Amino acid sequence: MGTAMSIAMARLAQQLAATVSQPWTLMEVCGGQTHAIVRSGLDQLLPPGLRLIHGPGCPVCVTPAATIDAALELATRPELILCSYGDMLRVPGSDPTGGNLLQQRAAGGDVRLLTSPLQALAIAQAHPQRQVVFLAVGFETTAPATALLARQALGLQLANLSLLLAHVRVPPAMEAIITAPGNQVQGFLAAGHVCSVMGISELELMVRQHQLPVVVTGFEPLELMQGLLHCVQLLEAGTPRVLNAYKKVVRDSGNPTARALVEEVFELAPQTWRGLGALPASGLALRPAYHHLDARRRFQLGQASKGESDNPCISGLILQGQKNPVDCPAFGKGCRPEHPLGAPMVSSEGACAAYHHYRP
Amino acid sequence: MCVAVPGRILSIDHQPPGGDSDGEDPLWRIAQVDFGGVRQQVSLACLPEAQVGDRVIVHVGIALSLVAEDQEAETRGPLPWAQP
Repeated sequence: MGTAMSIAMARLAQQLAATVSQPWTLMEVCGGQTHAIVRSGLDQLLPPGLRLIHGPGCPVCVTPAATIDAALELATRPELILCSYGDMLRVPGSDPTGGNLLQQRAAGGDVRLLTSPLQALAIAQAHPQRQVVFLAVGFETTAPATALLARQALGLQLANLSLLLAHVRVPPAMEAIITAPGNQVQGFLAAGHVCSVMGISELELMVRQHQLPVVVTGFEPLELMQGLLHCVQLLEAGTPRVLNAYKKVVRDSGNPTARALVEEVFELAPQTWRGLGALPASGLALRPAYHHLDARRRFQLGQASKGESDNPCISGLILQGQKNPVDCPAFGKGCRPEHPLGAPMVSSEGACAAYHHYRP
Repeated sequence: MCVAVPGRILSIDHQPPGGDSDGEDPLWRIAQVDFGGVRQQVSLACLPEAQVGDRVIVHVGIALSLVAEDQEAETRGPLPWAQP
């Protein structure tokens, strides 16, 4: 951190300390924000009584084990090319010793790492004799790209491309956290980039229902500190509302073009979250015009999970904000980035990886 | 996947696969974007208002948001309560 930034951080920390009159517990939803917080040490600048807990906003972490199992099974088929984002290739399925997609690749499977879903289109066009499956995960920030891929594939009438979907939506998870028994969260830092697509109307609905402040926040340490200050000010004043503290990127209406594309391709569907369980309307399913792109239909894949086998990993409690990574008996011992027992240790957005990298 | 680096649009093109039969379908509008020296091709399908020179936030290969430079200067500059 540069000197000017350190001074600005210290000033904000002072202002925060002067504002806090009682203990508050806030949650940052997004895994990218968790990493910025732990990397910058921001959480160690907070005044006593102000607690920050880490949310479920790591798409790799919440992708159900059954989906990983299905991808692992597909990757063994010689006629098939399986593509996904880098972090997805290192996540264990329901059996933590059962290997991951990278190991499938080492064993001869054609598994490819993409940085954009649109690359799957080029792969499918280059290999018309083979089936290409894109394992599509992520929140509202990646759903538009998956929708665009589906729309382009439909337009080109590509017969050899399909999607193994595990998209998730943030607001139902926030809702599940604050309505869970034993919830401690009194205010949210909302994920800025999700809001750049979705806008703030869904958050306003949540605030009206549950009377807790939500501050739309960026990803730089200073932006996060300012977001915290805004949230605490709203709590202290007893005026819960949505405050957009990331106006340089987030318009209150979001991105209507991206939302229209997502709505054209997908409809809301129940979705199982690793760690949180099944949440209504928290996922996306292809609309009937796009059913032919569904890998589960094309390859007759089951939805059933084998269930997590014997594993000391407490990622479910970590994703709900009930436990901290260092509370896990396996943290840094049986579970390390090179040998993860749970997805939060794998992902560049996972809370366990953040603590392992930055709090040795 | 939700973290993204802003980049600046260098040029805009229209690239439907297999020729220009799609006319000006916004589905195939793409840009060359400069991310601090690294250039990448990015879809503008979801940001029809984007122009050359704009700063954009890109997620997994598609531009999703314009960065408002005036708001940014506000955030990056001295904080209102910072002493000189």
